[in-house]
Amino acid sequence: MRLTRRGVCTLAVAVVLIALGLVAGYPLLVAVGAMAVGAVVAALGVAGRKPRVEVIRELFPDRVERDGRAVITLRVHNPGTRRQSGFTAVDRVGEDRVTVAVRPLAAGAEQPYLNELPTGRRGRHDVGPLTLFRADALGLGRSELSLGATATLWVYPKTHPVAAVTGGLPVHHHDGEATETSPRGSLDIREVRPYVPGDEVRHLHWKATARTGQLMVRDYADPHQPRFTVLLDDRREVAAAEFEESVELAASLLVAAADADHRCRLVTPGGVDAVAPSGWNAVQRYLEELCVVDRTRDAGLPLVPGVLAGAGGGTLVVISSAVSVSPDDRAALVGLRPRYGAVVLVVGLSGAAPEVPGIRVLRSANAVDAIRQWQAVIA
Amino acid sequence: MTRTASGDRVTRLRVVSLLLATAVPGLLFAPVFGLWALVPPVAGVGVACYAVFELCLRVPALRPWRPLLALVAGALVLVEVTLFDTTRSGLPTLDSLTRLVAGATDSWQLTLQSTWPVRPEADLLLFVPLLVLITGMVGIELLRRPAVAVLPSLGFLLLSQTFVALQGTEAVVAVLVYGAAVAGVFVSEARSAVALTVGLSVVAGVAGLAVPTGPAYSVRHNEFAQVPQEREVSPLAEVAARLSDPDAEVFRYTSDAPVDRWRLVVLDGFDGVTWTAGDRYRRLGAEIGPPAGTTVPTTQRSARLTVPGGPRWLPSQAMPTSVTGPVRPLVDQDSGTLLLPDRGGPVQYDLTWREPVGDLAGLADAAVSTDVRTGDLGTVRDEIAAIARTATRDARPTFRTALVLEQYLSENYKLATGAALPTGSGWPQLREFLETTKRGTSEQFAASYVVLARIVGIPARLAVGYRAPRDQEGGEVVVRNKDVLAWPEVAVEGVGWVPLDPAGTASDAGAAPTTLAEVLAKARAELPPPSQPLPDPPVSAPAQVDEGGSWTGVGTLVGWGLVGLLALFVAALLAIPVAKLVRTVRRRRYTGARSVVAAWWEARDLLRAHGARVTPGMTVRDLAGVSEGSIVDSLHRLAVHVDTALWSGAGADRDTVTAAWNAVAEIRGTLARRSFGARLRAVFAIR
Repeated sequence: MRLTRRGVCTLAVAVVLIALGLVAGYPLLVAVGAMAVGAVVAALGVAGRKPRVEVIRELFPDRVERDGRAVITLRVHNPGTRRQSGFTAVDRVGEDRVTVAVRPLAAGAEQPYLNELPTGRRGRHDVGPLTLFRADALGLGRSELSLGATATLWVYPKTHPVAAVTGGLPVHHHDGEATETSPRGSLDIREVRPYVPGDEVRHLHWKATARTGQLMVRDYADPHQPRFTVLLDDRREVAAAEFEESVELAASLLVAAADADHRCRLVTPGGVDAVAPSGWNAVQRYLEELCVVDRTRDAGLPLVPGVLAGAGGGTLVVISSAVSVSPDDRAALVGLRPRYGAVVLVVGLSGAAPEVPGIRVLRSANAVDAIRQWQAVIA
Repeated sequence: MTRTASGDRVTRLRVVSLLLATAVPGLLFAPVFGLWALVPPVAGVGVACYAVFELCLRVPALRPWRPLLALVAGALVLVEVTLFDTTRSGLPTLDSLTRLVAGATDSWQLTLQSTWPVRPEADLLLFVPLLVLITGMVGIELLRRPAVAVLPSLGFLLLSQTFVALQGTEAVVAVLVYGAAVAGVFVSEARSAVALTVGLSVVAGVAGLAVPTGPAYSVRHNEFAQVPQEREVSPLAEVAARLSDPDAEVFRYTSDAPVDRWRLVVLDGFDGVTWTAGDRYRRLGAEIGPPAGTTVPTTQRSARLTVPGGPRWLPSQAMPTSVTGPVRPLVDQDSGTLLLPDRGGPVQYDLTWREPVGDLAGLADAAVSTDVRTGDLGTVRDEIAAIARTATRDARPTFRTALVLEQYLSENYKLATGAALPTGSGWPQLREFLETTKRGTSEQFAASYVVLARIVGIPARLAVGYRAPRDQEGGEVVVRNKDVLAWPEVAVEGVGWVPLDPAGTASDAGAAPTTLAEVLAKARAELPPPSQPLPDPPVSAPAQVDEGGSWTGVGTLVGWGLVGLLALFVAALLAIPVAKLVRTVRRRRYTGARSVVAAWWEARDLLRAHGARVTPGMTVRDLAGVSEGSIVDSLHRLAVHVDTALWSGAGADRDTVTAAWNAVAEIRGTLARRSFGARLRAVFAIR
């Protein structure tokens, strides 16, 4: 309970007015001063009683696309035996505020308040703690009470419908042509490598084990299994607005590919490397990753991270709107090209597109534009 | 509604409230100018300020120019409303601007120098709407911080009180309106406990008015009109000279009732040598009220006077009310003296004045006024003091004593006539008159009377003027030099200054005496003979000295506050059942489907008042589900009727309505069987 600055000033002016009125003989000033004192006393009376209520916060849905609808329901319950007068509840959502004017509540009654949360910002936001304010109508006094519990709101990047492209593992040219019509599916051996616990024991390559003296296994891959890799540029050099568009595009492509049961991978120069088995869980996983991904703190990172060094197969999409591409990045891209069926580079209008043979380049103003071009050119 | 629109609505409310809070102090000048003279310019300025604010809201490019625009618009409105005679076909001229500037610089001074209420002229009034304009403009610019925006109007309120401190009912109204306006500026989005805030503020404000304050300080107290000092002969010194040229005409007049005498000047300062008049002159306003301390009823008289020329003083009466005509004299409200500073040729004017009438029977026993200074005397010799004591028979200073002194002078001294008239009214001449010659003109009689009265403690002053002659010439009364007269006046409690006539010359020529003169004559006749002592009128008991004086104010305040709170509480208690009754009656008067729904509302409110948990959106059957006893059946019946009325498509006929209300009556009957306490709580439940 305390007086606001306005309340303190009003009280001071009131005292001055009353003193002046009494000394100079002006009843009107005394009355105006007395009125002000009355209002301040009323404000103290109003703000003096902290709201005794229980507030249950329900957030639904707690995962929402950017600019989607997320509704917070405050169930305000008056557990006391006395009527509870109205107050203002302010809920914190990330950096935004949601204000709810709670009406007077009878003893034992409960009143739900539905409010839409602001979902304009991608990210994982803490909702709460709820702060209850009580102030009088003239803003002379106020009291505050914070109620502890918090909830989490995931604001995913927006996804746009887009067609997934199918691209499998290219067969090494020494192996001859792949069988297109294998009746029981196919399994290509990709490499023979040392055994690690957890590997299938049936795939042990005994000859190689005998030769090397340590357990070796065969690494198989289904050449028809479609693969899809997104390299999202999250380096510091990318502008914030363009990065949001990039994230939106990456989310759209990944969701479409994961929905189509493709094996997907999300890699960023900043160290994110998300691989998930296909299916709905995968969509969730990528969206969560894209929800919290942010530009790196350090500048000067290479565009192609080390984790992509041995990888390959399927389609690689590089989404970068960095203005410049260093010769090292270009060399890395050139090195990547042969290991993938197709490589697409999506850059912003101002971004640099290195001349790499065999890489298709899409120049787009924003995510929607990029998807339109994707639909027209790639899919 | 968007956030901007609602923000604009709040800002508009604030601006209107602020302009109201600015207009209220402006209208508090009503005792000075009259309310209806103030309303048009103040309202005009307020409307102009609001129009400019609204314009700047719609055209944001004009926003930086808002103060200037407000100033120009307000000035234009002022010129059109108050200075229309200076415009040329409605367009302001240079003259308008000059008068406006003069309004800012001079008008407040002219107002302070005038008697109140002032003449309703723009030159005096302009400073009030100009102040409203400036205050409103500054307030709007400060509106970003509402509490600060109120301060200019608060300063203006203080200023209005330094002009004229408001009291009584007008003060209550002004405080409430001002408080409401300030609350409108302060108002925030929170709506909790509005009744508490309003109630406490109103009670505190009214209680604040009940607190006794000291006498109000007014900036007008020491503000008088500047009168150029001129070297001229006092009318008192001219008495003998005028008597020696008796037939010269001084002025002429026609009046609606007989006049006793005309005064030119009142002299109340005496330093032992000369008699001097006061210089507390004011400009004559629209009308002068009765002087403070006069409790007897008065009546209005009027006369038309034509004065050919002469001194700066114009013939007047003791309590002048107004002067109409081409002249604008200054007036001394204490003495009734009219002064025309730059007097040229002959002047003609209509004078109205007040005269005491009615029952003045207690005059003889009245006390002399205690709030008037007795007056200066110079150095008094013992012989003179002895004469004063003899003349008043050592009595207390009362009006009867004053009459005895008058009788003493008129019986023991002789009026001088003929060629060698005594002159002078300083102590040497008065001593000679009192002790040696005992012969003098009305000048010596009046001056002696005043000094003797002052010696014994009777407040007295000396007036010089003319008696009213009996003869008329063609309906006009001509006053000549021979009518010149000096007379003493005595301050009497509740009546004011009563003129006496120790020389006995005023009544000789008096036409028909006034009420006061009649009463005086009667009192003179009833005086006891000189050998007897004077009857001592009863003295009222001394006022009770209050021991706890400083606490009575607080006690009264607390008492009034408690009474106010109690009244508010009772009113609030009664308001609840009355409001419910009105609500029920209104619901009963609906027809058709609406009446059936109203029956449901009535049942719902009844049950809610009795403590049922009713939530928004509950249907009749929902309510029946949480109810118990026979109420459930009644509610189910009601539900059928509500369904019929709302959903059957056939609407509700008279039978359905009656049945629905019958169900309500059943519920009421069931609830009436609850305990007394529960029913009492239900009656006063706000539901």
